[in-house]
Amino acid sequence: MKRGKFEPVNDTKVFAGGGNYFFPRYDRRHDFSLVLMYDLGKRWTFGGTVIYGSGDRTWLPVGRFAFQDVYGADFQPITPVYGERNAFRLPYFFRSDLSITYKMFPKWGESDLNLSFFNLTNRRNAFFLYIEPQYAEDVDPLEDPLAIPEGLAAKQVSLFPIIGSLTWNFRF
Amino acid sequence: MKSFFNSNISNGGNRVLLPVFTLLIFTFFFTACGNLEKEINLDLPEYQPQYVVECYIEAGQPFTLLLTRSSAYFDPFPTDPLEYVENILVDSAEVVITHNGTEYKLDNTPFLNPFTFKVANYHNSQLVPTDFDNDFSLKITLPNGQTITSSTRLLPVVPIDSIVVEFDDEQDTLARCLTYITDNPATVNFYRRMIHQNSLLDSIPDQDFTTNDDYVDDKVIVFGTGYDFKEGDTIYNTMFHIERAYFDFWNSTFNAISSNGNPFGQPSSIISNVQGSDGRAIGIFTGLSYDRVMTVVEK
Repeated sequence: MKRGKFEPVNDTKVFAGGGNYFFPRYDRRHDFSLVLMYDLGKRWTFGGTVIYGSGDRTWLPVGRFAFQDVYGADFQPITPVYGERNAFRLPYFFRSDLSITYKMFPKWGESDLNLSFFNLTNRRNAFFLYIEPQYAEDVDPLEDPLAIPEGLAAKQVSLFPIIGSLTWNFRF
Repeated sequence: MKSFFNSNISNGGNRVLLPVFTLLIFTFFFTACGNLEKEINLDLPEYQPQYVVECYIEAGQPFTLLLTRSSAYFDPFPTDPLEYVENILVDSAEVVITHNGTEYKLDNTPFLNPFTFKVANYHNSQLVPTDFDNDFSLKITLPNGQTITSSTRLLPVVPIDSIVVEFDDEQDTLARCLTYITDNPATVNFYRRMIHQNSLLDSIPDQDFTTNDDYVDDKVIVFGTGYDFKEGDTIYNTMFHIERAYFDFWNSTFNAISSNGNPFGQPSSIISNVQGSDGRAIGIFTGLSYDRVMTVVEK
């Protein structure tokens, strides 16, 4: 696999970690898909998919320091120190879908009813991660720039839960 | 299974299946309307704390330096602010700034600037000489024997030539502020601009960014604002003339901070101009040359 690498701007200033190789953002190392379809008689059709993939890469901070800055600028209690670029792998991606189609044969044309479930297992696949400072209830960091948080919480955001749909297709 | 479906259909099973399908749809819909965001535990690699240096020298001001240590990202924060400060300060280091053969030793004493409320844990009351021709060198010898070194030079102040306050032609209630400076086209220059409203200490800057002079061909650079100021407001314009190292440090730090809690931010490694003997020091040692003008908005 071709890895990414930024050439140093000069010997001492490099944005991507010293001119070292780093993993691409969308390094899905393993990707598995299974598609199944089954006709039960003239009217019933069943379909299903199963998808598994290794999680994507992301760049997370490993350390933090307090940054005072100059007069007129705000004190920053959480200035992140990022580790190696794209060294962290998100949780694996898994999704299964199910489709059931019932064909009808009206005199005026064609018709079928389809019941589908996207993400049948309702797995919360990670879309992105972010880290949020947690402050005490009576503290507003916007009003108190010197406020120190109680801690930091990592949060995962997913895009789709289980999504069901009922569709009627017809043709005349 | 095949005969089951066939017999259901032939016995009017449509009347049963359709409501069942509909019920299933709504059942799954409501069960799926749970929160799509959840807190997780991250297994980050082990992190060894690094030394962090912040030293800004200003002509005519005492030498001050803040030496702290970083911590692992998810280390808990002390609830007591004093304990938090004590945990991060690094004491018992030997700090020397050398300029033109003269050594200025900074004592390990806490120092609070009564005007800016900025703190330092190393201080020398001698004033920084106004010298734009010779370097200032920093050497820190840490209690464990490691050293941190850096060098910088004071840059001449680029004064603010003029400030123009213009009211909106249509509404005539809000004004904008135009700040003019003269750039030297013979050299590559970097600037940091700040603008505050009504107070420097108590307010978040309306503007705070760095730039260079790549985008201008002649000598005049104009910085503007939106129509944000009312009559009677006080505007503080500050123009720093900074070196490339500070420009890189500030931008990389700003990008790193902006990515806090922002998954679509652009993270950045901190680009420092201090070099640790273990290769892991972070921070900035730079000269501050700036001009600051206060303007009251009047019609």
